[in-house]
Amino acid sequence: MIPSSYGGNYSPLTTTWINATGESNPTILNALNTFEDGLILNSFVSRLPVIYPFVGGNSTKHALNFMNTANFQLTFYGGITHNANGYTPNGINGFARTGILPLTSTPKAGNSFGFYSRTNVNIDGADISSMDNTGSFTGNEIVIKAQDNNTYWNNFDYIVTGYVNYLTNSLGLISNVRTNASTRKLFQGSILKATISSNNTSNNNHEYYLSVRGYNSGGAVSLLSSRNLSFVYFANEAFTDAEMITFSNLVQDLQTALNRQV
Amino acid sequence: MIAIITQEQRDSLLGVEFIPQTFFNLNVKDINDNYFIDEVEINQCNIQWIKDLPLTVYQPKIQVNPFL
Repeated sequence: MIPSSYGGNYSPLTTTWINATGESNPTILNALNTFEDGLILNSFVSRLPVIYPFVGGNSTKHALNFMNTANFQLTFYGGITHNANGYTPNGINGFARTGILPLTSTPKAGNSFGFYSRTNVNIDGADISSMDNTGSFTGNEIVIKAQDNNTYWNNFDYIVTGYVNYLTNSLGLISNVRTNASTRKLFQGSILKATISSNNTSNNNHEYYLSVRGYNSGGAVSLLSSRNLSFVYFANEAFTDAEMITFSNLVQDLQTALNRQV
Repeated sequence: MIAIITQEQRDSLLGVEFIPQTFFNLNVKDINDNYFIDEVEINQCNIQWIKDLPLTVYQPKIQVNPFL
């Protein structure tokens, strides 16, 4: 596939985005197109079934998955503000459902998922979460900078395995990467913050939620987050440390092009 | 700020899409076990009886340690 920066019109995903959204803002379209070209050049496209770029400033556009606008559209609940900076739940009752099932879209053998936060706050909030509803606290979740300053994260394993105060703030691209059956890694931007030995013993397959702990089937609602997110992704393979640098740079460049980088 | 709603009012809003792709969250209760609608939802929806509800300060339920 020849990136559009080598001549021609917008690249395929950006073209599909235009058709789906009617987006005409050249700043947004050029930012998306440059980002897509970077994904193509680095062979990331097939490894990323889901990216929510949160561009366009309204709930209709923010619901769409850039990698396939027909799949995994977000459904929002409660109080959420949409604007040019992305998606911001109120921390009281706002969250989003993805329709994404962990075992299918983020396999146990290796995966990556994460979000770009524009809010620096300590809060007991799960910005991405899919947890068992058995009370076992196993599953796939990222809770950064909780009120006790710790970052809690798991990836087909137990939430309190390896929780430490890893981060000095809750800004930028935060990634949870399972590199193999016995290792997971935490990145902030391109920086590797933690490597944890922990077996992927959980078979959690509950839907991923954004901005709330994702086991609401029992009616409980907890860990609501108020962070402003401007990017969320799910990858069906692990990124290597070198690939995380490349991917993080692409995401940061996208935010910069949209004038909302942190 | 939030607006307290009754069980009947809550039930009438189940499944209501008040802006595209967005539904009321009717599964959260405040510290006094009241259903409520958040100010953001009130401002975004176009349902007049909701906009006429009095606002009050939100008091959340006390959360037990969610990690252990």
